[in-house]
Amino acid sequence: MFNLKYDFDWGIPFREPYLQWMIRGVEITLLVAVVTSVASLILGTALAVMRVTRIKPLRVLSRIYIEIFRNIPGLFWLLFFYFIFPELLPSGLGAKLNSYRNYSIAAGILGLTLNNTAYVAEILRSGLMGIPKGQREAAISTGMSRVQQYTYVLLPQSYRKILPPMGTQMIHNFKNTSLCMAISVPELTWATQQIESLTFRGLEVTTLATCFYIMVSLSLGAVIILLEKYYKIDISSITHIEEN
Amino acid sequence: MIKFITVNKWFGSHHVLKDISLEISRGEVIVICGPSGGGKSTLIRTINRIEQVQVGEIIVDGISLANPKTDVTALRAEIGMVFQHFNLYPHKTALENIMLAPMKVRGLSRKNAKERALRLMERVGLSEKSDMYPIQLSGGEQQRVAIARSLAMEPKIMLFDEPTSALDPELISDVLDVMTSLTNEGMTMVVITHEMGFAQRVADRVVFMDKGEIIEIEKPSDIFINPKQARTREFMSKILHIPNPHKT
Ligand SMILES: Nc1ncnc2c1ncn2[C@@H]1O[C@H](COP(=O)(O)OP(=O)(O)OP(=O)(O)O)[C@@H](O)[C@H]1O
Ligand SMILES: [Mg+2]
Repeated sequence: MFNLKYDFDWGIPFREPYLQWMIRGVEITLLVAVVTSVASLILGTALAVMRVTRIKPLRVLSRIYIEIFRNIPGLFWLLFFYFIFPELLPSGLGAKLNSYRNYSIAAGILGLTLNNTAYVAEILRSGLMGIPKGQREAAISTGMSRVQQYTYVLLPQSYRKILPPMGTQMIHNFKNTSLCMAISVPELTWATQQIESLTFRGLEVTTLATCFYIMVSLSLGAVIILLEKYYKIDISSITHIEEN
Repeated sequence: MIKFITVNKWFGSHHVLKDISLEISRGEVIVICGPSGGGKSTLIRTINRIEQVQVGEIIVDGISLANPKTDVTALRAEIGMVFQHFNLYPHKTALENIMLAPMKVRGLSRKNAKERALRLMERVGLSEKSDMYPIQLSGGEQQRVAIARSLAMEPKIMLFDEPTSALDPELISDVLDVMTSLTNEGMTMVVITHEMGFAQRVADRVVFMDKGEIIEIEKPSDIFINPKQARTREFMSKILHIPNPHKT
């Protein structure tokens, strides 16, 4: 099928220091993915609730945030937080940030999180809007406060409803970690590029990295499907059991 | 127990409650009936301030809803509400539906809340269905769980908004039985229903509403057999399927 004029040398990825770069790359990739996913889930929840509250300034604030981060490419935010943000700070503070060895990782996490949060918030908002008005009225009529209504009635139902699109978004976010190579975060894609430029043999490590991305994405997808199955029990299935 | 003093409410320019004055005493059972869109639901939803009114005053258990200092959330905990479409929480089992507010609002321990919930499930005749999710229950069963959920807060007042009108005929009587047993315990109840047999048996007074106004308030025997107002008469003959002698 393909006629690659390329002799694979599978020794390369397993030679030091390349092996170590690759392992470190996997670690950083997973770290960035987990931190950004969790953080954007929390922030996105807050923004989604703000977006549907009665309090107008909160609604407006949330709307502005979402429009800003949804309509500017994610890569821009990584570059912004890495190159520009420290310059905006008082010079002493900015220089200190730049000298901090892992600042690129922090900038990457910040940029990806803020970007992903906008999408998470919109997905969750659609979930909240899909909950019948009666659910909230039932909660109100038993004397629940606003916070309790969201915590025990509205948000748990929204999370269950939006599992499929939220899963897709999280997989997307995971793959977006590769953008961090642009600000030289030593994640997996960056490692493959480094190895390529030193050895002129990038295809081996790139193949391995691709397999890694596919494996993790597929596992994430599988976890979502398991969760969907699990929560179906309490939302919308099982009626047929009674009919037997 | 509940007092409406010349209450008026508008949805935009639509005047849905017009000069409503009504006093309901402790332990009284009031049935509200009338044509669709007449403002019945809006009226009972003002009692726990799910709907706010623009003019007039509502006093519940001695507390004015208009007073900005009133802790409406606390007051709502004392007022149970049962909806036409049950509104059970679909992500929780029957038992969890009942336990939630007592634990979170009243601060009951899980153990005490569970005991209370089991007792109520027994009372509404659903002991074996405690661990079922709403979707696994029939409409009548869901509505009885919803009543149990309200009762778990040990309310002083119970509001019912057409509790049986979404149910198949054969499921209605189980729900009405539970409601009848409540009236026997002296619960103050406001019930929107067109189940006239039920009204006849348990209502102290029947309120007939049309176009946002209270047209007539009578004892059930009087309002069904011998309504004073033409509009009431017309409506009653329709829902009781009596041929209207005044029509030519
Ligand atoms: N949230 C709302 N916004 C605007 N108009 C409303 C709202 N809720 C009710 N209305 C209007 O107010 C009027 C009274 O409605 P309400 O639901 O109280 O009537 P009802 O007597 O309960 O009728 P039904 O027997 O159909 O339940 C109706 O004309 C309705 O369209
Ligand atoms: Mg109604």
